[in-house]
Amino acid sequence: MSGADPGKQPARRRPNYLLVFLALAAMTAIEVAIIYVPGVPRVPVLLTMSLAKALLVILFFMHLNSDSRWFGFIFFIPFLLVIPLLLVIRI
Amino acid sequence: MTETVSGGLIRHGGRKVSDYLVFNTDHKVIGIQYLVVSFAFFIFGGLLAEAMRSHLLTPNNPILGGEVYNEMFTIHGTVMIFLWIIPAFTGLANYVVPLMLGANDMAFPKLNALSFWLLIPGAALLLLSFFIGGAGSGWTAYAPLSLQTSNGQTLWAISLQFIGFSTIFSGLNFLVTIFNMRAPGMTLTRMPLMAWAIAATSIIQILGTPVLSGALFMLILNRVLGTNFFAASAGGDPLMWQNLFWFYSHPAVYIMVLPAFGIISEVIPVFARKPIFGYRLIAVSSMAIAIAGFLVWAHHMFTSGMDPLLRVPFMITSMVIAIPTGVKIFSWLATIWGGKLRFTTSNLFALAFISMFVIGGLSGIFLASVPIDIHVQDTYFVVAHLHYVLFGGSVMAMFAGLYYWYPKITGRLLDEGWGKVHFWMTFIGFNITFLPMHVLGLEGMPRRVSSYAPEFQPLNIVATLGSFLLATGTLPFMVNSIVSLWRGKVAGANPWRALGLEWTLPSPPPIHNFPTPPTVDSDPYGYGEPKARQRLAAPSAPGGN
Amino acid sequence: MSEATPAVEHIGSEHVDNRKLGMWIFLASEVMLFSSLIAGFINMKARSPAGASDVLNVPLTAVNTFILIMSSTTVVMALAAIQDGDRKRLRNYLLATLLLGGMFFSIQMYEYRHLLGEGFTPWGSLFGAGFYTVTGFHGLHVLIGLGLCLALIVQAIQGKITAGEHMRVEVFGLYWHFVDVVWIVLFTIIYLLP
Repeated sequence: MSGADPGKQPARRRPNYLLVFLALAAMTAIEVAIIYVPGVPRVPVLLTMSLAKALLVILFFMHLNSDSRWFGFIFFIPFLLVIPLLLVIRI
Repeated sequence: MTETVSGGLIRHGGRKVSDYLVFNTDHKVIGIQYLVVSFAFFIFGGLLAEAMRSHLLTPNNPILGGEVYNEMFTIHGTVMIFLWIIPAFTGLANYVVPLMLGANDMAFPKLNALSFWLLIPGAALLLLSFFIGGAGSGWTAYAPLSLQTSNGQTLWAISLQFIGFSTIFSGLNFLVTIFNMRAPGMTLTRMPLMAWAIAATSIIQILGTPVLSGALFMLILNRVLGTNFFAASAGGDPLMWQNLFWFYSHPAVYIMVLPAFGIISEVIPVFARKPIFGYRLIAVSSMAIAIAGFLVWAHHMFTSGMDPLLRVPFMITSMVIAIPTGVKIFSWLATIWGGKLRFTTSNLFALAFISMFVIGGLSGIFLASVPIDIHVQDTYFVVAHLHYVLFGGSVMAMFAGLYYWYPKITGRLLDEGWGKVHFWMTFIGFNITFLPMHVLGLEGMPRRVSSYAPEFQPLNIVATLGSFLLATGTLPFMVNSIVSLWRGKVAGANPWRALGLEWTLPSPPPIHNFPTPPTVDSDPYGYGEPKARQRLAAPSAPGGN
Repeated sequence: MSEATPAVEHIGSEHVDNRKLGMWIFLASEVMLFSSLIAGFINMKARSPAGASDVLNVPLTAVNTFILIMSSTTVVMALAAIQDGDRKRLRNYLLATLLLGGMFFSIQMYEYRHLLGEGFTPWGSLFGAGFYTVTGFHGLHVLIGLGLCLALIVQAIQGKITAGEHMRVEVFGLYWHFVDVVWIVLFTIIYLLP
């Protein structure tokens, strides 16, 4: 299904990019709608949704889901380091 | 391929001097460019130090007015960190690491050259900032002072951006090279420890420097555009500058010392003729330091007015981080134990490193303790600590590495007699300069002051005299390194009878390094083992394995 | 983008292309840069009065977010196209990415001009300082991305990108997706969070 570069990992199944796009669009619309709806706990819901959208792009558009584990390692370790920084700055 | 001109410069593959003055993508050329430029800044920073030490001979010396003195220690610190020690290690690593890995260049040669050339505008701006004045808030540039100083401060900040980008790209290059370009058979556990050290250093450079860059952008914008990130009078947060600054600058000290650890791990086994003790311990501890180094930064802020409760976790992490380094020290000691020591100049510097760095580390543990730090923060105790780890540590290791690899780079050996003169003057001068500062600090002499209370004068005089010895001791090295280019003993491929891949190539190496990729079946520390004996006994043929 | 010595020359522990590995490492550094700027923003917002963000145009920016997400989709479709050997679709999807990215940038510029006109300046308030700095850096990254996209389009037209050698498209895509991810985060914390 996907053409392989010489020396790349064995051919990987291509995600359905259109489906991912629709999910992203839907979530964006919901996020915007939510701020006009009273009574919804905005912070946890919005943060979760934006995290979900980010992960969709990272895992499927950036192929982190199917590529070498090293890339995931390299990309996600910085987030662990950032947490203490944000905590200390805001405390 | 390798022409030896007897009694003259040994050239490899017909390199001309002009090759070293232009944008050249060969990692060996870039390495030398880095080394020469950074050493020039070592001298410049050293001269600033000598000016300050001379000024401090008397307690109320009118010669260097407060403003000028402030700018001097600011530029001294900035230059020594960003234009000497970090690029010097980068240069040495640039030259040596691809050779040690069996590679023919770095992963991204053009990016490598760019990294070097980014230093030039950075250095120019830094010097300009010194000459137009204004960068007088220490290399730490705390707000609000750094918001109020004159234009030189903005230039200082911009210069650091150039230098910062240089180190980020360089770190990226090393990581890809180390990950992807090792010789066939060189698994990660057969890789030289210098490569592990540089990998750990590169991780810190990549993850830490961008945070400084963000802080610098905010500082520049605060000064130039009035975006009041750090201006307390406008509601901004001066503590945020400290947090962002130290989030980078603490890991930065590991950038300054991890390559030193790598050099020591290379030099000690060779001159003790013994395999390194604790290869995996040393490799893993390097990575541990890289990561844990990001969790200690607020120990620079214990007296800043930060939340007192937050000081406790940082005190704990700051003490814990001594452990991986301790592991290394014991591993090196165990390597030396029972070995057949050869006291070459390189080895002398390496041994001095171990003892001096331990002293620096011990004062560091004291500083990690909040109750102690409260009393000695911003005193000469800190100045003593930082110079023991950065000079007694990093600079001594740098010299160990230079004496060790100079023959590989130039084809000739440095004179050992003058090397020993250099060593002893440096070692004794260094200790006379900085040992008294522990006492000065404990007795209450503040740092960064151009005048001080008269009771501190005797020890200041001692320190200054020591610094004259230290400074003079650098001269034999400078003369030695130039004269030996022409007059030094021809080194041959492997003057130290060492096992790394770089020693299988002629000195200097051919332009394209290895004609065929070498294969590797063990780590390069098997001294005394049969395979190693065989390898070392065979005559080293140029270009062969 | 490809001047590296051949990536598959030596045996590493795993075969990953030098340029792809380099880009992921670069993105890790970008995470840290944006974290620093976002920390600045969050701090400035926390020190601002409630309602400081009321001046922002949420619906317009929501549309802009949608546009950027679309551009992320078109760039990954471009990659899929050249993986299948379709050079024409590669070029078209890259053009679409350029167009959509350009729209995003223009709308951002429009909003900046409007906000400045309303008296909402970087120097006028802490929230302004944080807002313009972090979105400004994001915009700069978009601009650089547009430049890279244009370069790729030229190369695509010249036939330099093929089914056998298209790593540069993937590497560019990683950068562009990252810029999108940053925006997803920024949109939420700047425009939507109370």
